[in-house]
Amino acid sequence: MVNNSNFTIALPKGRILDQVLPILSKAGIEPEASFFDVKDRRLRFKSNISNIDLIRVRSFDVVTFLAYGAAQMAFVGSDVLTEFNHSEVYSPYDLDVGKCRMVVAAQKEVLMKEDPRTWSHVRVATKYPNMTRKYFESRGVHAECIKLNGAMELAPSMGLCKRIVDLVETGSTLIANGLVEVEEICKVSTRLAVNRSFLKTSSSLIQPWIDKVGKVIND
Amino acid sequence: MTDFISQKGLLPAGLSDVLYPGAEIQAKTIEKLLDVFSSYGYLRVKPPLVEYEDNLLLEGPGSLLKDSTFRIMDPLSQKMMALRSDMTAQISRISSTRMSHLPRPLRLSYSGDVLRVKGDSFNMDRQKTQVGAELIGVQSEIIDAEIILLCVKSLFSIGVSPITIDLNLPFLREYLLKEISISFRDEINEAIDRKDQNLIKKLKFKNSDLILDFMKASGDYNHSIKILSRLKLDNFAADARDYLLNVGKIIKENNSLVNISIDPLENRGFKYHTGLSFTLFSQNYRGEIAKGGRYQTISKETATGCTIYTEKLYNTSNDLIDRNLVYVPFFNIKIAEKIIKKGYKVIFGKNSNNNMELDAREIGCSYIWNNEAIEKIKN
Repeated sequence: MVNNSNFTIALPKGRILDQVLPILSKAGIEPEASFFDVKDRRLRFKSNISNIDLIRVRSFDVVTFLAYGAAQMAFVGSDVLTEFNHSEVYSPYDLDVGKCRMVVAAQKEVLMKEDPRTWSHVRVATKYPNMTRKYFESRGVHAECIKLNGAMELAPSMGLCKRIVDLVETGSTLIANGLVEVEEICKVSTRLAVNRSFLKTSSSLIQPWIDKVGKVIND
Repeated sequence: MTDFISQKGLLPAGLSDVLYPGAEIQAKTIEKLLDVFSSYGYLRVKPPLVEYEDNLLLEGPGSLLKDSTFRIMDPLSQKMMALRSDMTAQISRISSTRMSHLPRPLRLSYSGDVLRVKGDSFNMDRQKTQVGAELIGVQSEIIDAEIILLCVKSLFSIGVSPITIDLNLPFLREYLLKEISISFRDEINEAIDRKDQNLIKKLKFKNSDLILDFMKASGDYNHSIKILSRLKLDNFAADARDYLLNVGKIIKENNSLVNISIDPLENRGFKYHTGLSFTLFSQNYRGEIAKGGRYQTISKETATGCTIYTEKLYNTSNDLIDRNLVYVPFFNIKIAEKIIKKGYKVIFGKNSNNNMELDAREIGCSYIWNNEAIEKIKN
């Protein structure tokens, strides 16, 4: 399944990628030129290091690829790590990039009229059902999660749910859709993650690269 | 709707029919694993599938299995019964009751199916076959090393290689954090689980420097022993460290093929363990392939043991079965015996002279009994 001397790094598509690449580069890893070619349809790329390949996957899928051993190292948001909470993944470094917050939000006018202390149940639209359920459980409320992959902010005004749980950077999307932040669940940033089994069986191969990324962050 | 589903043979989630050759590979794999323990004097025991919930789940290793165990009501005694989800609890019960009078150390081995409420993160199977061994009544470095070495040996015997042993002290974390408030402890534990040394540095708490040292010591054997042996520790932690180093040394001396890594603070999956614990990995398999460690039985006796996750090991052990199948067109036990003695397997045909070769090929025979001789079937 795993070639003994090679490993693969999974990178998330989109927003975080641009912030991760400079860190990777400082650690000494450069993707091949076609990685930056928007027309290239491939998902697996070579790097300047002969035994390191790169794959580009949806940020939500990074942990899955990593945990199942399709990649051995990854750059991934702490939101995705916490949502999947996979025991086969270590995430030793906070890269301090891709920063945002995970919050509970609601419609401004609805918020004035209700009393959440009386709730035993609430319907929430979110991409993060596990974290949402856990958060509301800790307040004694059962959260029924509607899994949406986008346009979360629309859901409350359409009567789908009372709350949404989503990431916010500046909060402008919330405001534009008539929503206000109710509470912050956690802060989110991008982390370096590694596959547990690979770290145990091939530490001489991967540990030096973990240390290199760590050095970039700590300097 | 129901009729339709039953016609198609739909099974509940996480349960499956194991067919050929899977079922045969499973049986042979399990026997091979157990043979190793048996040749080192481990006595095989077989506890029941179901027993009283109070016995199984109340004390000892069983007390942490509540969430993963199915229950049924016993119409005879009107008591709740639990379907075993882990056999260690049963072995623990046997050793402290029906085998309590036997001399220590007591060596037991077992295999059997367990049923879990949920599958784990890699494997949705809810019925798993557990193979394991327990060494009860004595605590010493040699005893811990024996279980680990035999566990490795049994995995080698079915062709699992290379193997890395990760040695852990899951109780150490709790000891070092005992004076810290529970809510803060959660945060620290999360940082340790992630292996985030920067966060530990930032958090600053009693023993944070020591925690950091132990985190730095995590890694392969040579790296780890260098750091660990230099650490200045109180008596309790120093004893634990020395114990681990000694076990590592005994393993090294007795098996040069196995790799060792050390991760002192790791406690993933060690729920009831009170002493040195270990996890086995192999590059060619996903996640943990075996694990075990020291715990206390229900009569507070010290014990150590290992569990092998057989469901992860089947796919690659295909060479355990050879299909030298000979097609014997007509029913004849005498001829069959003769062929079987030569090391082949036999299957009787349709007692007709028509399409013998075609028939033989269809059922996967590589040979045919023809003109009083075993002939290879041409492709």
